[in-house]
Amino acid sequence: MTVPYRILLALAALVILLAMLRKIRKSEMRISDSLFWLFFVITLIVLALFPEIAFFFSGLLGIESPANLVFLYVIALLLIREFASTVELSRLRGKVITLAQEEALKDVESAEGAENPHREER
Amino acid sequence: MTKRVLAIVPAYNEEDNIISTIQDLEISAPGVDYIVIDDGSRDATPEICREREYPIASLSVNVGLAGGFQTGMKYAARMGYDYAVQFDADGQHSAAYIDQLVSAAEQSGANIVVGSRFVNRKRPFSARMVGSALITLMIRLTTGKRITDPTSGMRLFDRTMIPVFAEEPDYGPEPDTLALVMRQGAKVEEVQVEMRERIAGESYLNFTKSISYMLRMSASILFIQWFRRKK
Repeated sequence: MTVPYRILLALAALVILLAMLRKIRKSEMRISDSLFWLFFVITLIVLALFPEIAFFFSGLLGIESPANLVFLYVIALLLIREFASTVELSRLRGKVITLAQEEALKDVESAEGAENPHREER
Repeated sequence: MTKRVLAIVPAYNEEDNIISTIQDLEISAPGVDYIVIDDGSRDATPEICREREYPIASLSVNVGLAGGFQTGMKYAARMGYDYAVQFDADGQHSAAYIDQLVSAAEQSGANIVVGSRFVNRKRPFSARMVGSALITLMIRLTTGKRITDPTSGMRLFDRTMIPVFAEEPDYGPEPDTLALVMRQGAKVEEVQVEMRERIAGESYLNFTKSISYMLRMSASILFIQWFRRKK
């Protein structure tokens, strides 16, 4: 955890933060979806300011270099994020399909109603 | 009392085949209602259907075969049909067999009747048929039952199956769903049918898609099905 490495971490965190705030201003990201990135940014800055945390955990896990622990942390966090995104994508896919189906069926029902307005209600 | 039967005709860019498919249904299966499910076609399929006043549900975006078929099942469930049969728009299926599927379901009490090419006939040898045989084997392993033509797209569903297929996600018209409902106790029968080669257009299964289809079916039938919730 050299000083330049810590500066790089902090800079990266800053860039992510600015990108995120920009997207929120332009209404391209919802606040609820931004919370993960805010958390990510804060933890990166904490790691840059207090490298003792990385030293402590790398000692605990027997990882030689604290920098590797930072890698591990970032990769783990991104994997969790990717998993959550897949779940969310599946849910959205389901919703889109349901919406398209309901819209299509509504058209059929109204077409049938127009053809035969005295059709008995089922 | 005669049973009300609905043929669900999923159609994606089938302008060359749709008219002959519907004519076949009207001539050879006059007692059967049908609905075309236009899965966001970009050709003239929906226009042709409207012009000729075929009953049609038109999806505004392409949702894939499973979502299209499910639209038909929702319609069948809401209109209270006794049976719904999946009927391909590409001209492979013959409407004349629908009657036999329905009587097989009535006589045997089966929940699903599959129109099979291989009940009395030997499976020809081709790459596609090796895949089909593998799926038969996997279904045999996991359900103990023999389905000679699991990839046949001609399947009849009864009143108990229609609402399940209409509302549950991931109940696509595929062999893995067949295996799933069989394990849940559904009775599946097969009836010998003839199928034609496609009249026009191209089959959607190319080499990479076939491989990923087989991988999906294998993973789904052999592994994932055991963890799915019972319906």
